[in-house]
Amino acid sequence: MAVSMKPLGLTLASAAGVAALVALPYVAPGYVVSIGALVLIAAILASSVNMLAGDAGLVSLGHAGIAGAAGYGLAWASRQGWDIGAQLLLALLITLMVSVVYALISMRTNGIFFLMITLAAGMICYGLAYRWSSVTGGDNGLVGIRRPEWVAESWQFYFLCVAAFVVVTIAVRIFSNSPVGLVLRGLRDSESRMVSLGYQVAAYKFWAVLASGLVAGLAGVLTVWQMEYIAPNIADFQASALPLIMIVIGGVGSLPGPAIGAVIVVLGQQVVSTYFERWSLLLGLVFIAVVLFAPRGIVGAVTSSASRWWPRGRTDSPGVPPTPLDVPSSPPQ
Amino acid sequence: MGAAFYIQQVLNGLSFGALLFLVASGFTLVFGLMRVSNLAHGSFYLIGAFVGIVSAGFTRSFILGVVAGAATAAVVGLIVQRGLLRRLANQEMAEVLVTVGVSFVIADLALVIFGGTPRSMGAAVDMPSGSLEIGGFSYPWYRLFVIVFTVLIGIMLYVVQNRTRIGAIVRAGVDNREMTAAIGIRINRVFTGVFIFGALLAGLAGAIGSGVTSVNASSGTEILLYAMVVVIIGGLGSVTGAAVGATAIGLIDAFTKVWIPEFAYFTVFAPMAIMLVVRPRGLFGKV
Amino acid sequence: MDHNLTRRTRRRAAVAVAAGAAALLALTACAPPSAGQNPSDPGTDDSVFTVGVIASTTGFVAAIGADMNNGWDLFWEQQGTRAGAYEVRTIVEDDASDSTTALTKARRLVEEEHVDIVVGPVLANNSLAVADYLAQEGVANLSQTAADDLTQRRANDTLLRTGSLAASQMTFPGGQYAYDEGYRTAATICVDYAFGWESCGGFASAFLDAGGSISKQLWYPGDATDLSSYVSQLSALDVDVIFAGTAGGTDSSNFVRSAKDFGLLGSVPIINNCCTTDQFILQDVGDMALGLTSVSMFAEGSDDPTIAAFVSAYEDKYGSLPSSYALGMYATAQLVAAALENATEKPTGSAFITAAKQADVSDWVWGDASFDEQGNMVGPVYVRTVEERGDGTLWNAPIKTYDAVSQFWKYDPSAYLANPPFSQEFTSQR
Repeated sequence: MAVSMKPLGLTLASAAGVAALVALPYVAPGYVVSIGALVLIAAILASSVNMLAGDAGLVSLGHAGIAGAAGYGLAWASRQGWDIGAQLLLALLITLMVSVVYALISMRTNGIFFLMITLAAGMICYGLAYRWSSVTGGDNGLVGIRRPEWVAESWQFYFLCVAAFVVVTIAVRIFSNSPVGLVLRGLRDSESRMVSLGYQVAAYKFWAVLASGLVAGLAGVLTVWQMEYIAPNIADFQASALPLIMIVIGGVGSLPGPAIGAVIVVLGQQVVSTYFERWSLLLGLVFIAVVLFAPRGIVGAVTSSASRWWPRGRTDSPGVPPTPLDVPSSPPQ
Repeated sequence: MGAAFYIQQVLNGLSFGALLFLVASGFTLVFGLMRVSNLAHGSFYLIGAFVGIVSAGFTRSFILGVVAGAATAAVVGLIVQRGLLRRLANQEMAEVLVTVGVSFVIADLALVIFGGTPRSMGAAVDMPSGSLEIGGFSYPWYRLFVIVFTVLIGIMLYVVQNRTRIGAIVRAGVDNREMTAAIGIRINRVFTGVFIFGALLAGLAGAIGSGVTSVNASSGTEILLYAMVVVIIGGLGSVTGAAVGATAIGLIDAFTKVWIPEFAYFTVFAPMAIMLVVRPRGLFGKV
Repeated sequence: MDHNLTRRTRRRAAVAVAAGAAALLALTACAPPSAGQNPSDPGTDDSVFTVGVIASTTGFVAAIGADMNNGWDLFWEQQGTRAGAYEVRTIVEDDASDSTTALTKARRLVEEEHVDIVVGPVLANNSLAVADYLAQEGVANLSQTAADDLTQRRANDTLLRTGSLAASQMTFPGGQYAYDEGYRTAATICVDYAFGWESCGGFASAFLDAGGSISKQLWYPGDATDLSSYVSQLSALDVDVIFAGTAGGTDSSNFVRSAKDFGLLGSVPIINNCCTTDQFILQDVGDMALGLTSVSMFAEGSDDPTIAAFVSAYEDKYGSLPSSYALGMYATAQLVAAALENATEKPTGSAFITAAKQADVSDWVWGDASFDEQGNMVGPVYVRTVEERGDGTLWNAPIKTYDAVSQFWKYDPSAYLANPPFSQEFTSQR
């Protein structure tokens, strides 16, 4: 496939999107801005899940565990009085450690087994957060975590989130179109073929999980700064299920998918729930409908030449990429 | 702590394990046969519990309550399988995701219909109560009943699986779906039947389980997580595996609570993670 | 794979990212127009006093949230929504029993609705997070939770605990009572997080101080579905009395059931904290709870006229007996009305707290209670027993009252505060 036309439309649309994000604090009240930050953070976490689900066909139900671990590292260090640099360093170290564990236990699995093992890992993180009360504060969590001074105001923090979101989105895009990303997509389509071509499949999965873990860790740190508080529910089952719901509704594997899904879910949770109590019922129904009738999510359903939103490189079937949801699964080799 | 105490803990583990077996066997059969990881399976437990409690209260009969709970779960299972899963045949991930959505919906509906307060069978109706007392040892009859009842169900499952035609069909389907269909078995009917049966078992577990502990809207997710651990350890597709796994997890859980309660989650999920890494097929897995 | 293309794309992307990041960071210097405003500046009418209520109407404590709203509404229905020169307007937000939602709703109430005070939440973790935020914003918080630290190490001048007593405050008398009843050895079982540690801590401190001894302390995880292992451990012990501090959810019902199943009920006296025999639990477990002793701030079976009037008004309107959560909200509403009664200028923030502390509340359902320096109430604690009312309904009737109990019991406040909070490692003040 020849190099596609310079994606001018994509760049313009992205620029417009970023401009809108930047303009928000100047036109909307403070409360809306803090919701905006929540949406962006949720989109970052959803992107981390999207990296694995879209490209590699590895659906994780445990990424909130990594985010939570990073968050707790930051919060604990903050309570000990460490300075910001040291706090972030600890959060980074913990993110790496936990991601490595996730990667090690999951690198030889795929499909439903990957799902179950990440679910188990997420639950263990949640359990630790809940039970190791001398360090994590248990159910009460840790209160009084303060953001660094230069983002103390909520609109300043919002800009930090915008910057983080833009950086993550570009980084994910680069990752998807890089050689590693291509190998992962090959894995998704046929793992046995990649093995027979000589690829070290497990190693690629390892690095992919590690990379997505870093993004999840970033989301965890931002979450703690947003709330100035952390509690075990940052890592519970729902916290891991929601990013998945977001990317499915938005469009698994697509670039704007996580953001679109995040907007819908977070706005629904925080805003719609004020007026309509049965919000989570509605979300469940919408989710089911999307899976049944619009498996490429909103992005897939709305755009006709949807291929521009998905990573490049799919050479053997012109036009629309395969539904990322139909991943054939077999027990690990 | 004398022998009586340890026997009590073993029985605690077995009674919890019994409920897990009922839930896990349905889950594992459905996975083995249809390759569907039904993450809404916990919702059938929830339905069995709540409908069971309400019906028991209404009819003043524990048995009718249990029957109603199990039957309702089976009906919901039918709707989910026919209405949703069949449309997504062979799209594994989509099937799993749809079941996640279903579990969200059912959990919220349960909250609306039955409220947020924890419920239990004992509050709704007079139940077989009282304890077996031998010297210093005392153990509730109801939990013993749960163990015995489940063992009987287990035996029945074994007999059906290995001595009846329908059991042979299911076993054939688990081993090789395409071949089974190729020789003329209406595989879709078998799928639906097994799914409904799995839901029935989970609903039964819920109704009976609500007599052991209280249930609330998150009880479905809780039991599902434990059941998944059982299924992974026991091996997907194997009812024997579910029995072994359930016994193991039930006992581990009971003794962890005595010796190291802070690590309760860890001691249950770590074996699952280890099994997935070392022997993903599980102990008796057929998939 | 065209590597040149990738490199070019990467370079372009890097430039874009750098430019974008720089621009955004520069932006942090340009404050938007709304930034200067104090979000808690009231934007509305001076004759309307807006109260933001955060209750858990969905999620696992949904029943408690409903009761809380009922208690609040009952008061305003009885007395009308005018208090002094003000029209009292209530906005209710649901925190879905989740701390992130509680914080976001608190933000919404303060920044969008510009409420004058915030009442609630009730869950300890939600309350701690919200209280921290409200203290930063200078908005008065009338807390409904029992978490000790809110009026101890986290006390501040915009917080008042009006809907509950502190957790350990309610259980100190339990320890004293146990010793006075002749018990000398005890074992405790409490839920393994702050509320449980505080409940057991109160009992243990007072019991040990009086001269008793505790042979074993069990802690069960808050999300445990099955307490049989713990209860069976208790029945294997040989102690005079057992103290149980449960969280008021499924665990409380499960504890009562397991206690019956394993022969604990009736063979050993059990003293419970407030939650084990709260109305919700009684409605769930029924007659097996008869005779259970507990210590709490509220006894719905009391024949004190003020309390009885509240209980019967509640029952008339809602068809069931009120829980302590309903009482807390009703009492809070009474206090708000009294604080506004003689106010000449609309009190907000710490001014409201001062007005509330000094207000004279007639027929306060808390009885003879007053506020201490940290914003906690000093008031009566009841030892109660579960009995049948006569028409088959179960309730808690008081059998002994300890008056003017302080959150510090008999200890010196500064020495008490110098100690760490109650935990698994720090289980009594001794």
